[in-house]
Amino acid sequence: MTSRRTSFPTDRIAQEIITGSEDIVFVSGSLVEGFGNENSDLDLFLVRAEGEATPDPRLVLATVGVEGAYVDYEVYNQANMAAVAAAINSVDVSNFRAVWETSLDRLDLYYRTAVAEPAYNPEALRSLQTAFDRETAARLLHAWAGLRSVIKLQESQQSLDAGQAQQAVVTAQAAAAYACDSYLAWVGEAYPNLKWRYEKIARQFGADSTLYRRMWALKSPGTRRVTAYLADVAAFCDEMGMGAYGGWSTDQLLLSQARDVRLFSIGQRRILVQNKTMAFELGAQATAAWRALRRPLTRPSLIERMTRSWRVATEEAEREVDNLLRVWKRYRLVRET
Amino acid sequence: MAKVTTAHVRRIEEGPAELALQQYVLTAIAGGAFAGFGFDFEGGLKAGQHGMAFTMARSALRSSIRIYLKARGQVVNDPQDEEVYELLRLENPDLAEQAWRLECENPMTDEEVASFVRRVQAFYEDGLGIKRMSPVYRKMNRDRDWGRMFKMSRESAELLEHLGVEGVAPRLHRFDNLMRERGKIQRGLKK
Repeated sequence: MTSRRTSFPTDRIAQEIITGSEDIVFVSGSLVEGFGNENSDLDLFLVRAEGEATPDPRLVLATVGVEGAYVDYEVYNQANMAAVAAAINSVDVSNFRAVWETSLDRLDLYYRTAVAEPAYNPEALRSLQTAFDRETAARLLHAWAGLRSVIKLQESQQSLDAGQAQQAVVTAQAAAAYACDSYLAWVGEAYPNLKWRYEKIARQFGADSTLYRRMWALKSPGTRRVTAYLADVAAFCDEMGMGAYGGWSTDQLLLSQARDVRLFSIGQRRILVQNKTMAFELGAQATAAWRALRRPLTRPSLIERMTRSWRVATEEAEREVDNLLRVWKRYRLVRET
Repeated sequence: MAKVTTAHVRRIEEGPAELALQQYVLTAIAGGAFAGFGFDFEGGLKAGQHGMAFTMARSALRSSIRIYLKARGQVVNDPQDEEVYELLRLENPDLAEQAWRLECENPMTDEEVASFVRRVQAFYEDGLGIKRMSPVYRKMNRDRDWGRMFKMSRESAELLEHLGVEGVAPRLHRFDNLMRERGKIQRGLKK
């Protein structure tokens, strides 16, 4: 237990937030994980014995000032926690789509519960924790970050091919970071809060380790040319074992219309309205592609559909679909799942 | 005696949805998130956690561009990291150039990281003007400041809800629950 942690009056706060003797209050997060500093807040979780499960429990969150420090607390109930445990425990890490669709927030809550320390009702917490396993979280984070590394590296190369150097650099940075996160999870550093990447490497291997130096140098291109930077990142991802996820590609992701976007026709004009605030006019070909995405499609399927619909060569359809998707993704008009 | 002017009413150029969205972004996000970033920078640099400080500085750089773009009505939903620089370039090429230089910077020593963090902070506070935009920015030192931020966020959310803009802010009853919970705990701790 760190001295920072003991400075919080957790018992007093726990007494204030419980609504019944069967409630559980636990402490978790960066301070428990050993990464806290003097500015860290305390993450306190209340699990109520009763009550309806809320679809987005994280919104029931408050930050309160206590004796000069901050306590973030989140409120759940037993049904929420059971749903989180069931969802994470049921993911087969060899099922890439299931791993891809796992929410990092949910995995984070799962991990935090697995490593939690009690602030009220320790017996009930121990019973709750039987459904939460740190090793399961580590395996899932390893795969989750690995798949993202592979996708980001592919996107980086695609951006470079399309002449978009900035997008290529930012996605390459993400590819390197996810590869490192994946490897760290594999060696046991499974805390899903990814802002502690370098502190995890230092704890596991030392700040003078080869891994620390490699990753530290890869965090940005610096004075490197974009192509050289991408090559360095690709080599690093390979060394981190990302080849295990080589079967996963952007072409397997499903594209669909974003839920907050609707197409309107006014005379000959076709207008997309996003969340009642922004409007985008579509040409005839873009309208056909938009309508095709009423049902989720992979990029290759969309290209195939548009080759027929637009009556153009496959190469031309591919180029135009990619141009369209680039703009739609930029404004979050389409979803990728 | 107060001077009476004829400027009683000013027509706001933005549409109501855009205005409410900006207000929500500026109070809830600029206020809350950037207080968090500031705490992370200061705590991380003091504790020798330069890796975390760098990671959060770059995250803050990208987040601040998103806020700027939303405040300018360029986007409704958060663009992905790889798109923020292009969108910023479309809005303001000079700022985009400065931001991109920071994005590509690769500080190696502790001193370089500390300098990087300070320059990122100066860029988004003064360059992008985040400090001027939000009435609650950098005023999260006391509990009542957090209360003020929640209250302003709720007020913007009320306008968004009235206009039917969804998925941006929590529904009003969530804000009410949140404020009730906070009030209960605060009262209990003061006993």
